[in-house]
Amino acid sequence: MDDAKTITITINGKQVQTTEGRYLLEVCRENGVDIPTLCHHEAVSPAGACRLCAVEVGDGKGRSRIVASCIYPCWDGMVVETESPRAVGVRRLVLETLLARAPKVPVIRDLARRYGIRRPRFPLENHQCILCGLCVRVCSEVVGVHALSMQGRGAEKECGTPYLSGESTCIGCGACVYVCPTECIHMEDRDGVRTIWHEDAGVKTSVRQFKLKYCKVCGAPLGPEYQLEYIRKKVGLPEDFHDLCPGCRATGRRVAATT
Amino acid sequence: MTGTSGWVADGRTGPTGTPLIRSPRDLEEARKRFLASYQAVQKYISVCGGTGCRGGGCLAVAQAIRDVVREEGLEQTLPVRLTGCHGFCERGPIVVIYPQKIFYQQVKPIHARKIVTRSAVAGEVLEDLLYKAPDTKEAIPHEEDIPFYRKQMRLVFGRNGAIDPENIEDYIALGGYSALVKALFSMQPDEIIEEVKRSGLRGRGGGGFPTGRKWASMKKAPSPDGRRFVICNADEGDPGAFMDRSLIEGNPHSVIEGMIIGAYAMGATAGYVYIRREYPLALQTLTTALRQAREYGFLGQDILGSGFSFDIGINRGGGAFVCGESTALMASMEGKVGEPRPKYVHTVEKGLWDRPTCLNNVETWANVPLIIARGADWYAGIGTDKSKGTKIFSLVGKVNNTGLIEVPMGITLREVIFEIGGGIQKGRRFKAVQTGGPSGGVIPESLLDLPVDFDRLTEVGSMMGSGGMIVMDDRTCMVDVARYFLQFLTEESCGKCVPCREGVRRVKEIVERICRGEGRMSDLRLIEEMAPEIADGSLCGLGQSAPNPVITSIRYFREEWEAHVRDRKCPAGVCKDLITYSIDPVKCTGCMACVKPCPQQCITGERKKPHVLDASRCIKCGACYEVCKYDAVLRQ
Amino acid sequence: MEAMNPTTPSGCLCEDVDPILDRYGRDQGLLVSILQDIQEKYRYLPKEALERVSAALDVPMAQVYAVATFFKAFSLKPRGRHVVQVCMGTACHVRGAPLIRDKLERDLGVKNGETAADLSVTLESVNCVGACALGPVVVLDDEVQGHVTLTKVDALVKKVRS
Repeated sequence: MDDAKTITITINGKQVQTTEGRYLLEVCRENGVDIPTLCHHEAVSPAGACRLCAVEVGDGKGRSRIVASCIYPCWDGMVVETESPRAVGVRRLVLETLLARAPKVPVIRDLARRYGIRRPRFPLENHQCILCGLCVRVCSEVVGVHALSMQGRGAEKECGTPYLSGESTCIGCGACVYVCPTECIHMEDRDGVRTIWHEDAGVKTSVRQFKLKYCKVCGAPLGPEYQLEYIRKKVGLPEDFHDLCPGCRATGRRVAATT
Repeated sequence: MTGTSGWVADGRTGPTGTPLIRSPRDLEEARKRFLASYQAVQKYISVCGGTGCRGGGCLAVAQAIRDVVREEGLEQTLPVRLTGCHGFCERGPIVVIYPQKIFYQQVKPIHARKIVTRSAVAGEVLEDLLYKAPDTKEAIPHEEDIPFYRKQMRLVFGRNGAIDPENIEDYIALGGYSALVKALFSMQPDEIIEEVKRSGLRGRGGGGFPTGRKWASMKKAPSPDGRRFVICNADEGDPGAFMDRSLIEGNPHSVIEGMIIGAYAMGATAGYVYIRREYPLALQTLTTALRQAREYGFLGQDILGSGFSFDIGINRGGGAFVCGESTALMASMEGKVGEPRPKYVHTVEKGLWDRPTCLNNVETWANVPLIIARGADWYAGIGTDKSKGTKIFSLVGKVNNTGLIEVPMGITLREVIFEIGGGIQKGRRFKAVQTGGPSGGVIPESLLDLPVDFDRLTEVGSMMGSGGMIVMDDRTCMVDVARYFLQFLTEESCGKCVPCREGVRRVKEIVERICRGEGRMSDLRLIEEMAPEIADGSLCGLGQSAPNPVITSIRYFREEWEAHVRDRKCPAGVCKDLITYSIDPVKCTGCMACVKPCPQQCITGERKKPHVLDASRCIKCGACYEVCKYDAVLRQ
Repeated sequence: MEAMNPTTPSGCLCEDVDPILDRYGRDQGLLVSILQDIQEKYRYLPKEALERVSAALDVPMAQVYAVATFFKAFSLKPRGRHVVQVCMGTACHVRGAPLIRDKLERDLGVKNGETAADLSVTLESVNCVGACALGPVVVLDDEVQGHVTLTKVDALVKKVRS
């Protein structure tokens, strides 16, 4: 942005310079202020879904409100309290309800403990997925294949491929596995096949399998065929591009030239 | 074709040709003709065709009346008009004889003959079909004398009974689209916005945001490609509110005219009406009205020769309460899931397709032509300091006169419920009134003298919302009502943010437990602790206001909550797990009426001797309670 | 390990779906309206129809599916020939709608939100149909029935059964 305006904001009593319109969470983190998040990842657009990043923002004149810092644009003169009682109250509510929903998930347990919650006051369930939507966003925004979505609504919401079936536009890249904060998306490469699935409350869904491709020369694994094909078409590479691994491709070319 | 005045028949244009009305002069000429033909028919029978009356069988009544009219050879002299909602749904189907305005209620097809021959033709007033004052039993022949109507101020809603919503010419005859002419030809866009600002109009959909300020922000916001939108929110989702439906069904052009004026003022390039799928009749009326508005030249290119072009499309909702929320509504209009996004960047700047968008609800748009036609000063003279104009409420629940009412802001709840509403059904005791739908709260008897306006309702923990007023009596359990709203909100939460998705359902679980008699006193504290956190933490208005129903219930009816928790009792006799049915041997006459409906066959007894109910097999279905004429079935 | 990731639908129902798509100018923004018309046609949303919509509108299948499961108007399973809707608006609730719903469940032999195995009837609750003055309200095949009592439910059930 050319017309970006430099502004001054106050975070926990400390004055900080930043650019107008930047998201508050980033600015806080750059200035060493730690705010926990579960649905945030630098690679994808913020959603403001988990509300763990709640902070209190005031105008310095006594009026304040709670906002989700991951998606809140900074403005000049704003006064931010990241650990105010109201902000912490929201965070504790989020963590206590999430801990009741997914009591075995390590990241939830750690965060809950940090905020002094050991046992939720609600009946426990055995979910792993917390419906943060990171897998959906990475699949559509970064990979661009839109294989996943949040389905249904409210408490019944779930996450996966259409019909939670193996049929989808998934290319088997595993980006969703990588971003999932609660490790409820699993990936396994075995016997020439990659399997990716979601597992929540003991139920496996969206199980999808992909034939893996290996280097024709050295036999090193290259990745799922669909993914390689997807990349090849997107970038416009030659049809035999993925026959060899990068190493053999370099030597292979030399071999071909001498014959 | 649509017209009844012969305007189309004289061949000036057709539906695909140039519009029928191309200038303000055309409109004034047309109005004279439409008015002449409207007034030429002095004597006619008006049948309310609102959804309420349809549920009561008004279409069969209208058909029966038409049949009699035909049999009597009166088609040329006695037209039958099917109009929009008259508001007094409790007494439907409603038939009014013009010009005397004799108001008949609870009409059935068998009454058709005497209505036509004796009343409309011979001028007799049919005593048995008149409304009778519940206290004096006096029959009241004219609509305006009925207490239900007397305290009302029907500015927005008033023309519903007078026009055929499927005929634009009725609307024009009664002055319709003159506000549009005034706006297009004698006001600058900024002047219009200023006028709306000065009128003090606030959004009728729930929040009560000042409409003029919203318009001004939208006007200022830049659009990268020049596209800008106005939307009418007709996704009336508050359970217990149906004024928007009745406005569209009864007077769709008032909404359309308001939208065109707003579009001109804000420089919008297109408009949409987002309408609930649960309202098929409203959809049909609106479709017809938009087509007619196009044919007559109020929509399309170069409206009335002003140089301003604008059109309105329809978008149907898919059945999601959360889509009443502006950002969710717009997401749904883009073919996406109806999930809200944070409004840190306002929709007036980045709304539909990221373009400046102004969303107002049906009733708000319908107020606009009035303000433009009669001026901001006139409008601001009605209502209270900060809530101007009138508001339409749906007065429903355990009140005698249920229906839609339009009253000036500032009227007290007591006036509404006891004067217009005629008090509580069956002479029972008033307990509470619920306003604001799932975002609002319950208001107890001690606050009945509260003047109804946006800010006063918020002060007591409720909300104006879209105008539902559900009256509750001593047989309504306030814990059960709280449970009801939590159930509603859990089902309707989009599930995106944690405080709303997880928090509200946990509160619901707690309240369900209390309703089962498994509550603990600490539960009430837990709910009170969670409420502000849910309100603070939730992403959109749905979650932010979700605690209101339960919190106001605990605040004003703590004793009833404690009775559930401490005594394991439901004083109102509603919560199934806490009540038992039995038969009062003193009151029971032994009529046997309750024996047969009982699905469990657990009532036994001989004729003329008190019956006995075997509570061990009773499933608490309520069948015996419903049929007993002697109040001998006890539910405690 | 062939066709582990198939994306080709089995029969696209094009003859039925395409005219609906055309009626809405294949406009992405009208996805909800399009799905409503398809739902009206089949009484549910067949998978093949969703796939056709996804391809024709150039909207990812995952998004079409998300929309189809988000809105209450839609069903992914065939619905009954009769649809009985119990209004659960506030006004109906305080006037005894839950007892009406319970009786319908018992007498129709169908749980709320479910369809009879023989596809004869679907019973569902709706959050307010806007006929609050007539509460409790039941909508039988789009026809609003007002002031419903437990006694009147018998007649309604008979109508469904006939």
